[in-house]
Amino acid sequence: MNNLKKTLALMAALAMTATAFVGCGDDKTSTSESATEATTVAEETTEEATDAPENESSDDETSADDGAAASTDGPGTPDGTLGEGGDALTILCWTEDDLSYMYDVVANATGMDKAMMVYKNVGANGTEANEKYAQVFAADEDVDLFFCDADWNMAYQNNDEYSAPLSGVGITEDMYADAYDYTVPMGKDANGVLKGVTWQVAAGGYAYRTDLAEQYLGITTPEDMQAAISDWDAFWATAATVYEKSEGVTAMADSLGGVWRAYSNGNRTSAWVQDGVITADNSKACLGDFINMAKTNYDAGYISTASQWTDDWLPQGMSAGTQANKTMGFFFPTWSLGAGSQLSKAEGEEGTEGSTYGLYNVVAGPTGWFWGGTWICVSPKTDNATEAGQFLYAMTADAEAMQAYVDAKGDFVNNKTVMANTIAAGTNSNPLLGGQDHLATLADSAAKVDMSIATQYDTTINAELLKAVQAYCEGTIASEDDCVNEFLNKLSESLTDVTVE
Amino acid sequence: MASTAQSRIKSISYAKYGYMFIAPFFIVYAFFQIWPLINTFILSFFGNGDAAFGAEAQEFMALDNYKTLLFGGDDRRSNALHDTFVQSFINTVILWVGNFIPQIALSLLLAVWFTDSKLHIPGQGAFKVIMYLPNIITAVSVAALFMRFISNSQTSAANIILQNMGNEAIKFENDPAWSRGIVMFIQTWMWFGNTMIMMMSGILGINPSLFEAANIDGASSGQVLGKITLPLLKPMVVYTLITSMIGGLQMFDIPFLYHTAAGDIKDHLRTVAVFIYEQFRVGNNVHSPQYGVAGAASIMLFFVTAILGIFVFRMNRDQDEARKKAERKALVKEYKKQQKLAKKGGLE
Repeated sequence: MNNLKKTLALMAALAMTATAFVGCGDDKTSTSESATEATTVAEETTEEATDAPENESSDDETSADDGAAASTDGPGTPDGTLGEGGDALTILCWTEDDLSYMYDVVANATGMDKAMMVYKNVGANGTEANEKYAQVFAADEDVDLFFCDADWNMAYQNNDEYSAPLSGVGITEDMYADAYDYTVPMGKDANGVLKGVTWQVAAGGYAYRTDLAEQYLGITTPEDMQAAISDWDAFWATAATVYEKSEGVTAMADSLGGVWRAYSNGNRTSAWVQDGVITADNSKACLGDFINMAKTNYDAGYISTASQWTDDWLPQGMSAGTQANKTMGFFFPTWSLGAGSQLSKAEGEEGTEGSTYGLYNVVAGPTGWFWGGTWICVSPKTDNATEAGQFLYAMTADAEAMQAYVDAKGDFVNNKTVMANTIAAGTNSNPLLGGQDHLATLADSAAKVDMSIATQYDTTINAELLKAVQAYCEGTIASEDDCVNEFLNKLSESLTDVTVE
Repeated sequence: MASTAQSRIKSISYAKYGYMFIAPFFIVYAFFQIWPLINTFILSFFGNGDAAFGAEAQEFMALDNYKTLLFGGDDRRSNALHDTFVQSFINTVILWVGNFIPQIALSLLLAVWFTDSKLHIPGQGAFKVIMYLPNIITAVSVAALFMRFISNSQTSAANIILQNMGNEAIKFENDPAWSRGIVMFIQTWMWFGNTMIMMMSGILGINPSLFEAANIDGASSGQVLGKITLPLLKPMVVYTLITSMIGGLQMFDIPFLYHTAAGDIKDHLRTVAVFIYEQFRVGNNVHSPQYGVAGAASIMLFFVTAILGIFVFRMNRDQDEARKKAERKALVKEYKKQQKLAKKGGLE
C-alpha cells in the first residue's frame, strides 16, 4: 500500500513537471522535424530542378532550351542553397489586395497550381507590419516569400538571417534590364547582393475631386488643375481659394502625412543618416522649410487635421457624413489608385449616400514624388525555391505576365516596355478616376523616382517627424525649435545604432 | 513519555510526500519566475548592442544604465532617455493618485450603503454584478470603447456631438488634463467594483453586535461610520492601498492603448511600464531591443514599489497590535527562560 502511494505520488509529480516543460520541448521537435524535411528535400532537389524548366517551356513558347536562354526567358535554376519540395508557397504580407490579382497572373504564366500559393497576412500597415514580421520570423513559421515596404526593406535585406540572395531561387540582375532604374539598387543589400525585387513603381500624384474643383476653382480639366498647383506656392495659393469658397470646410491637403511624403520624397536631396550620424545641419537640410510650411498652412486650414491611416482620413473624400468634403484631394501613389485601394475607400461604394465614385482625377501635383513600393524577398528558410523563383520572375521580370497584371489591377508595374506599350495603347481606363488613365499621368514622375538617398531608418524618421510636427501644428509644442528638438530627441531614443547630434 | 510518542510520529511522517507534491511548482517557479527576475537584474548592468546587426554584443557597463536614466548624460540620447523616464514617473504617480482617490471614496460609499441593514437596497446582487462588470472586460476592449467615445478622432462620439452643436472638434488626447482625466476615469470605472467588493467583505467581517449596540445607544449613521466602520475597516483599506499602489505603479494597458494614430503614445500618458515596454522593443525595423535600459527602469520601479509598500504598511500598522506583539514576544522569551531554569532544577 505504502509503495503504491509512493509510486502514485512520484508519477503525479513527474507528470506535472513534464507538462510544465512541454513548452520548451516543442520547439526542439519541430526543428528536428524541419531538419529531416530539409534533408529529404535536398534529395528531391535534383529531380525538381530538372522538372522546372520543362514546365516553363511548355507554358512559355519562346524559351526553347533551358540552358543559356533561361536567364532571359524564365527564372534560372535554383542554385541548391535553399530548400525545395514544400507543399505551399507561403507569402508573408500586410495586405492581400495585390496578391489576389497576382495568383491568377502567376498561375497563368507558370502553370503553378493556384491553390499552392497561400498568404499570411499580419493585418497591420506600415511600421506595425514590420514589427509583426519580426514575430512571425521569431516563431519560425513557414515563410517562403515576404513583402517589404520601401521604408524598411533595407533592414531585412541587410540581414542574412531574414533574407536570402535571389540567386538562390534563380533570379539574377540581368533579368531587370527593362526595369525602372532605382528598383534594382533598392533591392540590393550593403554588399551589392540582389535580395529583393519589386513589381511596382510607386510614383505619387495628387488625386482631387473634380466636382469641387469645378465648383470652387472653375477648373474642368486635369491640365488646368496641374497648372493651378504646379509648385508648392501655387498649391497653397489655390488652397486659399478653396478654403475661402468652401467657407472653411475644405482643406487642400488630406493630411500632414501626405504633404510630408510629397515634400520629403520630392524635395529632399540628402540622406537622413550619413555614416551612422544624424547631424543638426543635415537634419535642417533634410527638413527644408517643411515645418514652417506645415504650421502656416495647418493653422490656415489648408491641411486637414486628420491623420493618415486613422478612421478620420479616408472618409474626408466623400460628400456626406461627418467628414464630408473636408479635403479637396489626397496625395496618393500609384498603389492607392487601383481597385480596392485607398482611393476606392475614399470614394465609398458606388451608389451609396455621399459616394464620390468616379469623381476624382489625378495630376502629378506640386512636385514629382513617390511613396514606397513593395519589394519581395525570399526567406532563407524557404522550402519552395523553385516556386519562389517562378513567382518572382512572373511578377517582376516576365513582360507578358506583368502586362496581364497591369490590365487586371491597373498598377504601375516595374517594366518600362510594358508601361510604354500600355500608355501608347491607351487601354487603361480607371473607373475610380472617371476613366482617366492614371498610368499616363504619372509616367513622368515614375521615370524620375530616385531612391539613392533612402536609408533603412527612414520609417522611424518619418514616423517621429510626423508626430513632432503634428504636435507643433496642434499647438502642444510651442515653437519650431522645440519641434525639431523633440523630433531629434525621439529619434535618438528609437534609433539605437545611430548617433543623433 | 512525550519523546517516545514524538519519535514514533516522526517515523510514519508523510511530510516528504508533501514536499514531493509541491516540488513541481517550485521547480517551474524557479525556472520561469525566479530566473527571469534575477536575469532582469543582470541585464540591467549590460549594454544594448545587438549582434544581429553587426553591432557589438552586450558589454558590461555597471551602473551606466541607471546613471543615464536618473541623471542624463552628455549626449542627446542620454538626456532624452532621462527626460522621458522622469516624465513617465511623474505621469505614473499622477495617474495612480488620480484614480485611487475617487476609486476608494466611491467604493467605500457604495460598500457602506450596500451593507447598511437599515437601508435595505433592493436588487443588490444586480448592482454588484453591474459594478463589477467593467473589470471583466479586457483593457483592450475598454480602450477601444473609449476611443469611439472620446478621442482625437473627429468621428468619436464626443466630437460628433461637439461638431453638431457648431463647435470645433477637440483633440482630447493632446490635452494633458483631458487625456489624463479620461485615463483616470477609465481606471476608476474599471476597478471601483472590485474595490467595493473588498470593502463589503471587510465591513461584513465586523461584529454586527457593535452596530446593534451603536443603534441602541442612538448613534447617528455618521457616528457609526466614523467611530465603528472606518477604524475597523482599516486593515482592508491598507490592503487595498498597497495592492492598488503596486498595480498603479505598473499601470500599462490603458495609457498604452489610448491613442488614435498608430504608435502615437502621448508624452503625458507614458507610464514607467510603457517606457519599459518601448525600450524593450524599440529599435530600427528589425529588433534591436534596449534590454539594459528596460531592465534598469524595471529594477528602479521594483525598488520604488517595494519602498513605498513598506512605508505604507508601517505607517498604517495598528499601533496597539504592534505593542501587543512585542509584549507577547517578551512573554514567550520569559517563559522559555523559566523552563530552562526548571530543567536545571533551579526554581521550584
